[in-house]
Amino acid sequence: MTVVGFDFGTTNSLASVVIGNEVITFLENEQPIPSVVSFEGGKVEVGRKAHDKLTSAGLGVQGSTVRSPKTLLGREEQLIDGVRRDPVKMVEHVLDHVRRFVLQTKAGRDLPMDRVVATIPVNMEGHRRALLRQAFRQAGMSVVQFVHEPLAALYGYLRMSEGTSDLIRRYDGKLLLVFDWGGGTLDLTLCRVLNGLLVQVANDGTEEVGGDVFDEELRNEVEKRSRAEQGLGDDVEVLPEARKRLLHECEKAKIRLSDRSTWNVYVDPYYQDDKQSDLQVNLSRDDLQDIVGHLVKKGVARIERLLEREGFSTASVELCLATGGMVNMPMVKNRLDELFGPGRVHVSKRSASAIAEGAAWVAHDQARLHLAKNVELALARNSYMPLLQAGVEMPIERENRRERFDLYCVDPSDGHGKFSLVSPHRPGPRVLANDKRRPLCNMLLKVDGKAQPFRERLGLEVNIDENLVLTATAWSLNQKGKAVAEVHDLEFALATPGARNSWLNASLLGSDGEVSPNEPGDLSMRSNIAAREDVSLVPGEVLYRYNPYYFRVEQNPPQIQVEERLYYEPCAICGRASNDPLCRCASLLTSRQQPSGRLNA
Amino acid sequence: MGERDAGATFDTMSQQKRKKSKPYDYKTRVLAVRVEQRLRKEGNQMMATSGTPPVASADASAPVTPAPVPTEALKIEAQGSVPAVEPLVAAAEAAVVLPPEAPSAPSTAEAAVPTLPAELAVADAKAGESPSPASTGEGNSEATKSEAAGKKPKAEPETLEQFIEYAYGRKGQPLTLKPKVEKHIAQNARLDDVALSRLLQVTKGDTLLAVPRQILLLSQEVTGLPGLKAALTSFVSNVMLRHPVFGDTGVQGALRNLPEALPPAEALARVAAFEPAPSANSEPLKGSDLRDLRHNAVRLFVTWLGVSRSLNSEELSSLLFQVVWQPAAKDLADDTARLRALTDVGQAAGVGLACQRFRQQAMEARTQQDQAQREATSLRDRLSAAETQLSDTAEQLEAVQAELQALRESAAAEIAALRRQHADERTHLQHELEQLRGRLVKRLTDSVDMLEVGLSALRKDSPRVPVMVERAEHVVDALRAEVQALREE
Repeated sequence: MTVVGFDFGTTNSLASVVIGNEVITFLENEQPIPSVVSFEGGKVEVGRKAHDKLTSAGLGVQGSTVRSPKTLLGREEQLIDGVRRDPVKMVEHVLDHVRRFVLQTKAGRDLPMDRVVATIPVNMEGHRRALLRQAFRQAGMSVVQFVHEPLAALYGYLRMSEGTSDLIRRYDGKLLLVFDWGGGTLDLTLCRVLNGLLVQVANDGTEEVGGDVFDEELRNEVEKRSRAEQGLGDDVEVLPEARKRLLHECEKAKIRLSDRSTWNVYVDPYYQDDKQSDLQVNLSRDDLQDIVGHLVKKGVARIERLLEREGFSTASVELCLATGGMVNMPMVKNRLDELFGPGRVHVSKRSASAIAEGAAWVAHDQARLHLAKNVELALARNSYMPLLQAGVEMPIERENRRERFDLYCVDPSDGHGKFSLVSPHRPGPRVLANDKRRPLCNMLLKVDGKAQPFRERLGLEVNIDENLVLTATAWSLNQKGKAVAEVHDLEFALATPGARNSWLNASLLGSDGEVSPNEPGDLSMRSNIAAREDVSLVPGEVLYRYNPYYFRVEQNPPQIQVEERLYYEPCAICGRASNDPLCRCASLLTSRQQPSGRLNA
Repeated sequence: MGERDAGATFDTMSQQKRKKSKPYDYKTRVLAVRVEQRLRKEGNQMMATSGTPPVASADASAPVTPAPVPTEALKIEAQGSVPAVEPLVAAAEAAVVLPPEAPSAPSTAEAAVPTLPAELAVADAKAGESPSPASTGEGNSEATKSEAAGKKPKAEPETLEQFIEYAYGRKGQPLTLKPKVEKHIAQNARLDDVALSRLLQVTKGDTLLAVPRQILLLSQEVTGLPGLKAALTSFVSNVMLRHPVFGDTGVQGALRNLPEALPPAEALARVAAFEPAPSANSEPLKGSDLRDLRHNAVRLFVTWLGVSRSLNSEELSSLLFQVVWQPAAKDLADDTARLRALTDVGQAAGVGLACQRFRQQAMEARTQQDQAQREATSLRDRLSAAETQLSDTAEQLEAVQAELQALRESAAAEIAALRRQHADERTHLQHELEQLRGRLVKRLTDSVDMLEVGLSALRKDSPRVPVMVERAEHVVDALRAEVQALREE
């Protein structure tokens, strides 16, 4: 069964498929299909026709036209052209339009077009993924699996390069930057090749410097210069739809100034002026540089910001893969070359379709997503138990990955079992015990506060569904309590072409290595969960209540439990806390002791 | 041979010595027959004059239908001559030249011996068989008287009828025929109805059927005289068909060799189990006589089969073994009886012949068995070799079939791969064509739009020439690049 790669982008949508050993991308007159849907006059139009109705940059609803309905997923219904419309339905229109377009081509008419690998932004949450899957289903397509856009672009680049294995070997352990600058957004993703997996390290993005912003900036400047050149004041009105035409002309000018040094922006008629109704402004590359240069700087600056934030430098980036229409601007390419050096910047000839083609290769090779980082449960005394190890395959459509664990409550004294799911910052299964962790979710479960340690049996189940949402469910057998939490922002890795995942064979390291310092203000939950019966895990003051004999000297109890007991157990004489300055019972006891060590009677 | 048969042989031999034999007075009988015929003739003449239908005489042309002759009548006839004929006997004695008296019919011992070819029968005769008075069943003193009356010179039979009469006078002893007599008799070897009828009357005296076998055996010795041979054989046939022993319908059919006749073994079994029907006119046969009759009848029947159907000695031996000897041997109760039977065997030559034949059969069977075993072994070896070869061939066939299947599968896979490849290539070509078309459409559309804008700029009151120039240059460059790209593709 042929699976199609589907790039449902913020600005454009595209479908690609691998036939034989070559990828086919379905472009409409050499252009992708804009992710725009128009409901003007009750008629639904998608693609180029709807895009031509846009009057300004920016994502979302513009009158009766919606640019990038994907960004509206998860929100409430939108009022468009007097009708409340579900974002899922809007997305369905775009998906269905692309699907029909593919099927009406000669090359695509025999494709089933019912199973796709769909690309998603890095920061798309689980519930939005579920909504996107629903939209695909309504459009007649089932999503085999999701793949993140930068990972798809990287995969396609590696797959279509000569000497894929050598390239992967060369990049193993190195940082790779995916620089996706499209019409609506700029997305940066820092990745690393680790043991045959493309692992996402960090990401950044903004909508402020999308290609449409460039066009709008240019338009405003062109109109301004035109008014100045032609001596027209602000009171001179612009004809209806003229600004829209000027926006499109500016977009073309931006593209043509890649090949030419100057370009006349001409729109006739533009003004509502009998004498000078047309608009003509001559732009040069320098003009373009002056007008939108700051946007380019702003966009490229985000690279440096990301690298600095993650503690890397541009020199540590082995490859900068530039995708999206904006990277064809000489300004952008020059800037990237300045940053990384021409040898480490790769701008695809088909930059607009790089992500779709990558998704097609992912579909063809049946490359699977894997968990990039462990999902762990914090246990008592700050140990961590891996619930899901980095490297495990993520479920595809109609699959679930489920694990179940039986646990104990070490300290039920407050009546709650405290579950804390965390994920290390370090990708891969080889994490140190004291590596910094990121909390995923916390759960409180009702337990019997009067029960002894290890008496309350607890259960924990973690399940990852086809939408890559982790659901943790905890329950207590005695108190019949239940707690549920979801994690939508797991981090994933993509298997490189032809690679074998060795992460599953890696064992966890012991607690050696440098201590990761905590940041000021960090809070952590003191877990009272254990995976085995070990009295050393029980807090000293709790254990003393049930087993005072444990603390006899000849039993040689662990020092930490002794200290806990002394510190947290209220004073037996005055009942104050041990750190209460009013409690001087210990000094009194000491003074009464004779040199022989006996207390005075 | 059975104990009974052995005992009967002894008794017969002792009886022959002790008992007064009553030899068959054929001379008297001939005279009696002639007188009877004369009387009948005269009687018929008298009846003819009186209008009474004459007494039917024997019709030579009609088929001889043997009428069951009451045993009593036979006995009476055998015992004594017709009283009315006695006065004529003395008168006829002088005219009849009879051959020396033949010994009586062969003993029961002989009857118990299997039928021998004629030459051996003659040899047996020469071995000195003692005559059996039981074959004739006579004990009359007339023969003795006639013997005592004086020895007359023996006259050679001149006709067949005479010879047959003579044969009956021999009472079952082996017969010989001098060549001279044989030729003489052969000149007129035909029995008319009267003669036949007469002779049939004579045969009635031979109640135990001792004589016909000798006649039959003699007929086989006749060479070069088919007429005589046939006549003798025919006579014996008539005698047999008339005798009650062969009265059973099935036996009759076997005698005549009819298509629906009983098989020889079954017919012979019926003869061997003959039980005479009770008759008020005659006394029943004594046990020994009945036994002798059966024995003689069996021998006669077997001889007849050998003559009429040309069964060889092997077949006859098998027949006798199946019907007579084997059943008789089953009656031997113990080893003593068996010892007695074995040591009482009289006709050693017949036993020897039969045993030789059986032995030969056994040896042939053994030889055949050995050969069959060898052939079976050879066939088994060949079969084993063939099976091995078959197995090897089957394996080769399987290997070839597997290879063929693998070739088919690989060919099918190759064809499928080629088809997919062709389909993929076609898809790619179609896609490239579509992309090219789309690119050209876009290029041309953009060019047209651009030139339209340029024209529009030119048509302004103050023409915007740079706009047109710029766009025209762009169109030209774009089209030139497109042409170049098309040429390179």
